[in-house]
Amino acid sequence: MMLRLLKIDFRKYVYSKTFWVLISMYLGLLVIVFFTVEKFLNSIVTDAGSNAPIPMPGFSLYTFPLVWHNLTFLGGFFKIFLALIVMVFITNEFTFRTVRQNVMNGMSRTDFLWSKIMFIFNLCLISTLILFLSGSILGMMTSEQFLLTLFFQKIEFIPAYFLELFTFCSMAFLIAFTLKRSGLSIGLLAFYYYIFEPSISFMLPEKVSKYLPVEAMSNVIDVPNSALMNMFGINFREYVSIPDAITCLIYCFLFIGIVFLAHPKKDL
Amino acid sequence: MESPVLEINNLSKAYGGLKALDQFSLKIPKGEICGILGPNGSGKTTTLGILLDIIKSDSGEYYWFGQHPSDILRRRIGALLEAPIFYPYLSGVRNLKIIADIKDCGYDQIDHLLDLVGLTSRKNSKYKTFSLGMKQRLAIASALMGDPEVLILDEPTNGLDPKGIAEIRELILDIGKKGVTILLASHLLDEVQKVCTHVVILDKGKKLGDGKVSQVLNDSPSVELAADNLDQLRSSLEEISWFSEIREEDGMLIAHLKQEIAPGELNKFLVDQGIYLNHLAMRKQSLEKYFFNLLSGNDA
Repeated sequence: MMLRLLKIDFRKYVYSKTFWVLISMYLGLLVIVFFTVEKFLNSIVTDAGSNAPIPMPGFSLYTFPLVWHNLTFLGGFFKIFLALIVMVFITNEFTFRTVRQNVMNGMSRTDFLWSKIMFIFNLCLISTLILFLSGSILGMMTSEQFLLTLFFQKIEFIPAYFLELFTFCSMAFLIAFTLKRSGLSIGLLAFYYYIFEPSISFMLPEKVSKYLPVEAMSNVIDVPNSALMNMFGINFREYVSIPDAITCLIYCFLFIGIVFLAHPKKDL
Repeated sequence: MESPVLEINNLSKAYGGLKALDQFSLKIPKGEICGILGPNGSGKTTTLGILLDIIKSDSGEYYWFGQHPSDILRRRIGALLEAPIFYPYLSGVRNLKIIADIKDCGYDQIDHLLDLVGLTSRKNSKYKTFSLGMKQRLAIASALMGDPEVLILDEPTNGLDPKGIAEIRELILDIGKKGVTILLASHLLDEVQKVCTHVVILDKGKKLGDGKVSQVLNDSPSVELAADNLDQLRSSLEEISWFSEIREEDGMLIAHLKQEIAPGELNKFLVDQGIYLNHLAMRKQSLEKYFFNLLSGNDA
């Protein structure tokens, strides 16, 4: 049943050049960033450190178990690209009117939604997998000895990263199903993500603003600590925030739930 | 008793203040080829859209095969609505495979269907490179996927050249002969007349009439006759069994013929009866005229 929906949906992307270009750009970007970020940061620090009275500590991002926190935090910045792919391919079904055709041919409206949920789930899974592989390779290259206990310590950042992506993509899913146009949807999501929520969040007290969706998503994984920050006495949270993760889960249900309630009643 | 393939009860749909469909009811038994005839904007596509669950009705209900509509039942229906719709970046074959997956019917039919609609040579070209006629042909192939028991066709010959139109009509008739129930919407009287056994006439969302094509769109040839004494003429005509119906209109008699006869023969018969005609003309009732009469009657 689910397999059938997966197969139908898969056929829609697998021969699409646009899909492969977008997904390889996104994944390529992630991998390049993961593999070069340490060198990049250290070159900045070294530059700045040449004039400093005390030696600046360099970054070491890739050792187990810190690599999971570092990479998942970094990867979170690129989730907008993933949401873009989600929105392009959902709104395509409306601009090509193929959603109509799918339903006419005997796909129920909820099956159609499920096929898109699986699409999002798989995209997030692929991104998480690439992150996991990159982290494993980088960690093994950097850590002096490979210990399974260290490898699995803080591995919870991996599912947390998946949740962050999935929550954001569910938001994209809701916007795409509501607006049905790719340009409008991408515009609205970007506006909300970069401008609207940050301004609202700035005006609200922290104990309220932390329940805003984007805020909650980014709070699940806090800024990683570094030797540099420690020097200034700044300490960030080094574990996954469960309350924020729960807020994210609630948002997932909410965003997806709204679509499941509204979509089956609409004219296509 | 076998339940009708399709039963529609008092279906209504409004867009804003505009009534697109108003208390529409219809019953289609198995094997019937039913035409929905109406001008553009009369509610044909709205009706078919509701029957395929892509448009939600405001009130009324419909049953497929005597059951409440569902996606599983829709897989037994082949449909072509308005313009053909496919994924533009996929080839003809790949588009049909998606439909086969949705209908759960396997890919073995695809080659045969593409051959049937004459697209075999272009089956691996992307849909967006197709001409309008080819798109329409692919849509017809997709409607035939999975051996549907019912075929819903909305303006199926749209965009085709005369040769294509003739081919598609031929194809529809062939499919109808196999016992497939067909619901065909068209604004072309000629198309409905050539293909359908039954017809429903729709205008501004209202059903104006329905029945057998031969009754509703009566096209049996008739004769106009006039003589000094119409009553005598009438009783003479009623004596012979050449006519199915005789009526008076504008001071002359209109007699519908059961079969073709030569006017001379009729004239000779009447002269033998001592009746001299002052007007005799054969006429073929124009369906177009009937159709427009019906529509303008609704306007008044």
